[in-house]
Amino acid sequence: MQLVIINIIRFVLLVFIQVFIVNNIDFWSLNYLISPMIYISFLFTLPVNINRFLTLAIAFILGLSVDLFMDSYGVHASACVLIAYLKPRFTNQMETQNTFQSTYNLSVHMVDSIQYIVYISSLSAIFFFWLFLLEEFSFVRLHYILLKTILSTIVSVIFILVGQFLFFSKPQT
Amino acid sequence: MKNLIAFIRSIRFLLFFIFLQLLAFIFISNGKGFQTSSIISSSNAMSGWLYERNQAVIDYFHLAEQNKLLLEENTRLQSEIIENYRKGGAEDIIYNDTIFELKYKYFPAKVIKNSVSKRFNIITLNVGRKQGIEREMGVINSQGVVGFVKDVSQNYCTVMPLMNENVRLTAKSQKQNLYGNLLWESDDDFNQVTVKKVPTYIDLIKGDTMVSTSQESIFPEGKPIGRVLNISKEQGSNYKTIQLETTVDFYNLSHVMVVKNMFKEEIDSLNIQ
Repeated sequence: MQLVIINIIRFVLLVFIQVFIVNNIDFWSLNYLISPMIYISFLFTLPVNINRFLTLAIAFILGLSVDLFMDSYGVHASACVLIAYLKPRFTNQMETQNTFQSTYNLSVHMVDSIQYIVYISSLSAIFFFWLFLLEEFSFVRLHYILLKTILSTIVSVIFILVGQFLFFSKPQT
Repeated sequence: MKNLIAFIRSIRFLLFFIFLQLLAFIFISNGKGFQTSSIISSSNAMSGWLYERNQAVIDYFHLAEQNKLLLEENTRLQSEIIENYRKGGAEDIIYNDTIFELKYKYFPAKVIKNSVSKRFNIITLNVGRKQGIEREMGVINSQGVVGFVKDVSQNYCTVMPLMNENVRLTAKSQKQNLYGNLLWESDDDFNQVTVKKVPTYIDLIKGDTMVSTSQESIFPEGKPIGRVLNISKEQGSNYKTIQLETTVDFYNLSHVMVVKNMFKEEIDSLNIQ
């Protein structure tokens, strides 16, 4: 129950931080190429034992609430649902190699940090590629989309990791 | 039959995924269009309210700049008032007020959200249906053309600025009555727009101003859009492409005016026929 309340607060806070702070960060002339998204950290840390239908529904609502603020109509909702759908493939792999409590929030402290970085960067890369592809709605400028995906993924992963080191505590064993 | 149900049960997660994706795609296709309106936009009551609170804080950082702009505009208006002009002889003037009919009505508005870094930028204003705002009204400020209204809700509206790849307007030279298509090309930087399909015999040099036309019956004629940055000839055609630097500073946008063309409906109804 406590975990549910914490996650609801995290949901609202992450959307607010995304919309009112991260979206306003100025990268000088790289503004077109870097658009960091930290709110997807919510999907990464969501406990793995939650019903997978519920996970998809949460991802959809999360994406839609960001769409509401960023005037992107449904692009974020689509990308969030995609990574929520693909998430079990990555977490299952981690679960076989690590023993972690699947009812806890899946933060960087729970598993081997290299594995966790691989997990969030590959899902972020998929997220950004799908997001920018939908925004452009064409393959004409594929090189531009790929460059944008790589740069945004790097910056987002750094932001998300720093955030998790700051706000998640190590679980007591 | 039993097998079919078992099969559907086994792929029900995939089906749910596809269902949510389709839902998202419906939202996207509703919003992306140039003419259509969307429910998922920041003209929505909740996000509009939050952006307004957010802007209330940010406003303090731009006070000095905004004061300067207001002063400039006041000075310009001051120089235009009737007391500044000498009256002609009484015999020259025909007094008949009713020959003038109001064509453009202006509503003051404040920008509460302004995105600058995307290819499809959207601005949100703090006026909506209650204040008499409708779709496809023009938005200008003292410096020139900003954009036009896309979606309207009860208290807020979203504006498609010139800095959006979906924008299709016309612009003309201030000196001659020659038109071109105004759009924001992918290679345009911020505060730059491109005018295409301008006849080659147009007489323009760097620094000249291009202004709005009343072709779409959105803007009053002659509001400045941008100054010419460079001119190039389109290959294999009789047209020129002109790159403009917008007169409006989109980085620093706070107070704008929404323009209503009182005759828009009448003109549009003629165009349909």
